[in-house]
Amino acid sequence: MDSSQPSSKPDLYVVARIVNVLREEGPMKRTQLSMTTRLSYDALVRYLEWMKQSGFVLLDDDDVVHLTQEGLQVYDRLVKWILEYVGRLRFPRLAP
Amino acid sequence: MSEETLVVTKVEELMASLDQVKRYRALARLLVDFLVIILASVVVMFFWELAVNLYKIGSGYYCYYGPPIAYTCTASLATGSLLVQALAGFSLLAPTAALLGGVYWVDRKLKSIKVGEWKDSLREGFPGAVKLLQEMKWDSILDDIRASKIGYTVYFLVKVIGYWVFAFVVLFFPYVFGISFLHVGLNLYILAFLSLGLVLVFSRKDLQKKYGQVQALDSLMFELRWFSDGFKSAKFET
Repeated sequence: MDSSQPSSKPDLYVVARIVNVLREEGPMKRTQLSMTTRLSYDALVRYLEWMKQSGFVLLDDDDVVHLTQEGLQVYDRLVKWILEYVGRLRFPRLAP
Repeated sequence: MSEETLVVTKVEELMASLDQVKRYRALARLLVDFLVIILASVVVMFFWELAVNLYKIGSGYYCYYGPPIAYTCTASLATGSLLVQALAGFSLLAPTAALLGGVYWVDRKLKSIKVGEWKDSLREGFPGAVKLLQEMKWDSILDDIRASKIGYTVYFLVKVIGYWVFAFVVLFFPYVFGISFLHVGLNLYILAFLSLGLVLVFSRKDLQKKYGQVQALDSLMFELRWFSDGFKSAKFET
């Protein structure tokens, strides 16, 4: 999916990047978040709109983005969900 | 180790394995180049033999068909026979040079394959791992593993045959020299079996290793087929 077009099914990678930055660096303004996540400002705004509607982030009056408890839980669920699949893989040793 | 780190580690292992598959896949393609080099050298060898034999006939040698060498010319009717016999022997150098050149060519091309391009994405941590998993073309990956398995097996067989030819050429002159002292007939079948035996004995560890690699590729394909089926059909609900 085009990362600049969040729809009912957004790009998990972009969502994970936004949540990861907010989780590690704390609340920040949209412009700063755009630079840190290396997303275009327009794309970020569209994603934040979707994330706000889903209850993952909050925007205060100073235009600062906050990660909600729900956003954090969804991120943890995503990690667990992927680990459930990838964690079971057993790789054979392939010689160079 | 956190769950995120575990995911990143697993994806790193997966990508490293897929890089190796990429190399094996390239090996399957390079095998065609390798075979062309070997076949070209065999053609050169036959034309060289033909030219030398034509020269021998033109120079008054007595030539006849007879086993074990298909076409034999004696030097009884001409002088300078040693030089002409040596020229005939040079024809064997073509496949030998082609074998060594072919192995070098394959090795050089393999080293030029770009791998590890995923490392930048993985430096992002968990989001990078998600990106790599999302971008994977599973059907193409599974096809590549299949092709790699075939290519790897055939390449190894060609390599053994190549070493066999090389051993045959190397042993040919001492063998002919040796039996000329014993005054017995030349039997190239004995030399062929002897050289094959030597190659198999010396490459037995390599043989076991290569067999293990083919099994490892089988195992990787099984794991990834299971993973791709599960991952593609699963849906993450927010």
